[in-house]
Amino acid sequence: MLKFVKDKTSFISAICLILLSLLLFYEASTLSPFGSVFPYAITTALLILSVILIFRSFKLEIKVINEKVSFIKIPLLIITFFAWIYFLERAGFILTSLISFNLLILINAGQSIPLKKIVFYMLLGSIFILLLYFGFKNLLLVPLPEGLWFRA
Amino acid sequence: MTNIFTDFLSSLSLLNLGLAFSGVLAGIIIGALPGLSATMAVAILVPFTFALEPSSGLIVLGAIYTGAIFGGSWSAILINTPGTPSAVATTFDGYPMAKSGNGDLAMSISCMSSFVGGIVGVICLALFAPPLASISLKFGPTEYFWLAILGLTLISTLAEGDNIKSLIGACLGLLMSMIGVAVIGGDMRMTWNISFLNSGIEIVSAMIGLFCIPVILDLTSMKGKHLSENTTPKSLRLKESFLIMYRKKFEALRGAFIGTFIGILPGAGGSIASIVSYGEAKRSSRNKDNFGKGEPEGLIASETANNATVGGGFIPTLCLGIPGTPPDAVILGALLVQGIRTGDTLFTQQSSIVYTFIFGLLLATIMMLPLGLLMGRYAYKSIIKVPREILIPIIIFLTIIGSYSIQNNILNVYFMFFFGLIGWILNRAGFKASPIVLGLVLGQIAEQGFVQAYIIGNAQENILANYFARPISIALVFFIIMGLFLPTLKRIYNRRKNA
Repeated sequence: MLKFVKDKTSFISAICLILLSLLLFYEASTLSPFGSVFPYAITTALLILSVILIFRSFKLEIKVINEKVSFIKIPLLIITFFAWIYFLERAGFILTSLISFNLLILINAGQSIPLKKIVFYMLLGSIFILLLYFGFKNLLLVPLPEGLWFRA
Repeated sequence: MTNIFTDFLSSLSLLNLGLAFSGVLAGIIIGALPGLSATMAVAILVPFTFALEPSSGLIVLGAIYTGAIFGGSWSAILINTPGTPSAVATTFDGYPMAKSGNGDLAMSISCMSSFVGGIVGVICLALFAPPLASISLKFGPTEYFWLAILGLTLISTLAEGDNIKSLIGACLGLLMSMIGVAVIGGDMRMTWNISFLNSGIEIVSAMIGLFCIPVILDLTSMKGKHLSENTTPKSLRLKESFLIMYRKKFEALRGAFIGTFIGILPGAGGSIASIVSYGEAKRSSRNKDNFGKGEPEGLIASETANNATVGGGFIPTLCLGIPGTPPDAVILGALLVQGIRTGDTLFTQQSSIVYTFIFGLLLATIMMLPLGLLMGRYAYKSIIKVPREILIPIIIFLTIIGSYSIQNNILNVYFMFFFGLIGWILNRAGFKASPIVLGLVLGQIAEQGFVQAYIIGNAQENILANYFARPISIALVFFIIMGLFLPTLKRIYNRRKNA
C-alpha cells in the first residue's frame, strides 16, 4: 500500500494521529458530560484532519526541508542534556551545570578548534554560569538546587 | 485640566523618572530570558513597591511590564524562542530576518513597533478607558470561545507551512491543554494515573521546549554560521528601520488598535492580539508570499499589537476591577494593597494617582525606545559573535534555568525536555511548533468559553443559537470562515483564471 503513497511522512503521521485520537476519544467517554464535551469536539476535529491528510498523502507530496542530522553529536547532546536535568537536584546546580556545560562545549567543538580556544570557551562558560547563578539566587530570588551533598 | 497637568508634572519627578528607567531596563532583561515572563517580573517586584507612594509603585510595575513584553521579542528574533507567550508571532518573521543577516534591522523595527503599540495603548487608556471598558462586558463565554478559535485558525492558515498540518498542530495543542483537572466539571483528564500530570502542563516550559530544542538540535547538526552577518554591521540601521516604519505607518497603527482592543478583553492577552494582528497584516498585505520568510510587516504587526495590550489591559483593570492580562492581575493586587479601589469612580475620586500612573507608563514607553535600540543592537552583535560551540550550551543552560524558575520545580524541566524532543520530531515531519503552542495557550480560554456556552445554550434549550446567533459571535465566525477558506478559494479562482 505504501508504494501508492506519495508523501510517506504525512501518511505515517496521520495514521499515528488517528490512533491517538481514537485513544483520546475512548478516554473522553469515561468522563462526565461537562468534562468530555470539549475533548470530544477536538478529537473529532483531529480525526477528520488526519483523514484529510491521509487522502492528501496519496495525491501530492509536500516536502519538508530540514537540516541534516548528525548521528554522533545529536545523541551525545541529548544524553548530556538529560543527565544535566537528572543530576540537577542531586548534585546541585553549580556542579551539574559546570560539568554538563563544558561537556557540551567539547561535543560541539569538533576537531577543527584548537585546544587553547576550547579551554577559553570553558572558562568563559563557567564564569557565565556562576554569574547567572548568583543573579538568579540573589536578585531574582529564585532558589536554585544546591544538591544533596552540599545541603547544610 | 489643571489637575491633569499637575499629575503630569508629578510623574516627571526625579524619583519617578528613575523608577521608570530602572523598571524598563529590568523588564527588558527579564522578558528576554526564556521562561521569565512579564507576570513573574511584576510579581517579584510587587513587595518592593509597598514602601513607595502608590503612584510611584504603580509606575515601576507598569514600566517592568512594558519592558518585559518588549524584551520577549529579543529571544524570539535571535534564538527563535519567544521570551514571553505574546512574542510567538514575532518568531515567524523575526528569526528568518536574523538568519538572513537582518537581525539588527529586526531588533530596531521590533523596538519601534513596540514603542508605537505602547504609546497607542496608553493614549487609549488615558482618553477612552471608561467607554472602552464597557465594551469588554459584551463579550460572553461564546465570544471568548470564538475569539480563541479565531486566533488558532489564523495562526494555522497564515503561518508558514502546511495548513492542514498547522490545524492538526493546533488540535494537538488544545488536547495538551486538557491534561489535568478540567476547567469546568473538575474531571481528571488524560493523566493515566501519573501524579505529576494532575496539575496539567506548564505552558511556559512546554513553549521553551517546543521552540528552543528543535533550534538547538538543528544548530548542532548545522555547518557554517548560525546567523548571517550583514554587510553594514556598524550602524543601528535606524534610518532604514524608520523608513520601513514610516511606510508601514497604517499597518503599525492597525496592529496597535487591534492590540489595544484585544487587551481590553479580560484573559485574552498579548498572544491572541499578536496572532490576530499578524493574520490581519498578512491578509491585507501586498507581500503575502514573503510572510514567514522575514517580512518586516509581519514583525511590525506582532510587536505593535503585543505592546498595545499593556495599555489596553489596564482599561478593564482600572475601570472594572477585572484584570485584562495576568500581569494586570498582579498589579490589581498591588493596587488593592495600596488602598486604591478600582471601578468607574476611580478616574474621578482618585484621579491624581491614576493619571500620574498613566503618564508614568507613557514615560516608560518613551524610555523603552532609546534603551531598546541601544541594548538590542549589542544583543544582536553579541549573539552573532558567540561561536556555536558555546552558544548551544548557553541556550541549553537558559532553557533549564528558565523552565526551573517558573515554579522552582524540576518536573517543569523534564516537561520542557520531553516537549522539545516531541517538537523536534514533529518539526521534521512538517508540524510547526507555533500552532501547538498557541493551542496550549488558548486551550483553557477556548474550553471554558465552549463549555459555558454549551451549558447556557442547554438551559435555554437552543445550543446552536447560543453559539451562532449572537452579533459578535456572527462576526467572529465570519472571520474564522474567511481565514480558513479564503486562501483556498483564491487559489482555485487563480487556477481557473490561468487555465
